[in-house]
Amino acid sequence: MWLYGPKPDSESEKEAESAEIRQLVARAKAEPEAFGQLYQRYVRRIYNYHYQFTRHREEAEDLTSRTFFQALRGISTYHDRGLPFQAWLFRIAHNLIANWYRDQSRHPVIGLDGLDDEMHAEEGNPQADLAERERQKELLQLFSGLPEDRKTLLLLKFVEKMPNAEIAKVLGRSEGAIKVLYHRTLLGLREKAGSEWLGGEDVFEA
Amino acid sequence: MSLRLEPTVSIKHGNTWEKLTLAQQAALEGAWASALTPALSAGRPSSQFATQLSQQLSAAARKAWEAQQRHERQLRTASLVGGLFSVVGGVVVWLLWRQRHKTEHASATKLSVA
Repeated sequence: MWLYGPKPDSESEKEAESAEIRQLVARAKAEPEAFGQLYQRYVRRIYNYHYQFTRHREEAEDLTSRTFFQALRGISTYHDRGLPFQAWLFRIAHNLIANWYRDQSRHPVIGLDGLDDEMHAEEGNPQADLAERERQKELLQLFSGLPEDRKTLLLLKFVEKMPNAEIAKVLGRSEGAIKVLYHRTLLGLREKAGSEWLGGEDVFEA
Repeated sequence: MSLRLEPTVSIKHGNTWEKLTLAQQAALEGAWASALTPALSAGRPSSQFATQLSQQLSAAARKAWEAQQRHERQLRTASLVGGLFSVVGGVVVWLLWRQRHKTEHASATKLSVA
């Protein structure tokens, strides 16, 4: 059973995982323990999702708790009608983040605390190239300045490796709209960051 | 002169159409993914928080489950009592009907004797 490790890559692994999740969800409607297993599977991912928006440990913890409590209350009425459990859960998280953004616009306290610590912690290599870290920090700052829907899109695409169809369900849009938003986001990021960070790629010179 | 056609994606960006070839898209995607994914995956909840939330959730789930069980028990009891009342009601109606029928029969006999 996958808990904190890398997400499954092959199609058969994904299929086996989603079958297992479906079983767990069906059980969770009747057994409290089964919901605990779902929680174990998703807690880190949901926390990370909230953390990337808030950049604040307590806020991320609060939003994570609220996501899971809402999921617990709603699981008896959840039915997988083309909306996988993971997309349903991230949709709850996304709605909470949208509300959080509204509150923040009234009381703006967003910061970029801990970016350095985070990157050091992630790399875990004292000899990591300083320039590389700086570049990563710049990109993270660019990411932090993106609108909420674009951040969600990048997080779900790059971190959660969700397909466009599933992202569309989380954001409540069509798959086509997600593709357009994705391209616009990539183009916008390229404009802001310049093309140096592409590491010598000359595809844009042609 | 050779004409090279590359599959492109055209996106309206402001008032202009910006073209992106598949190779460019893949390059952008790859660069962003390699630069951002490690940093964007770095948020980890503290084990204390994860354990505490797990306990709160399991307590809430158990409470909800018990409330549901209690509700189902109440529904069962209510339907049993309702069923019992309808049986008793049926018997009472039948007894009343029988009594009335008997009285009517008795008065009819009296009348025919008279």
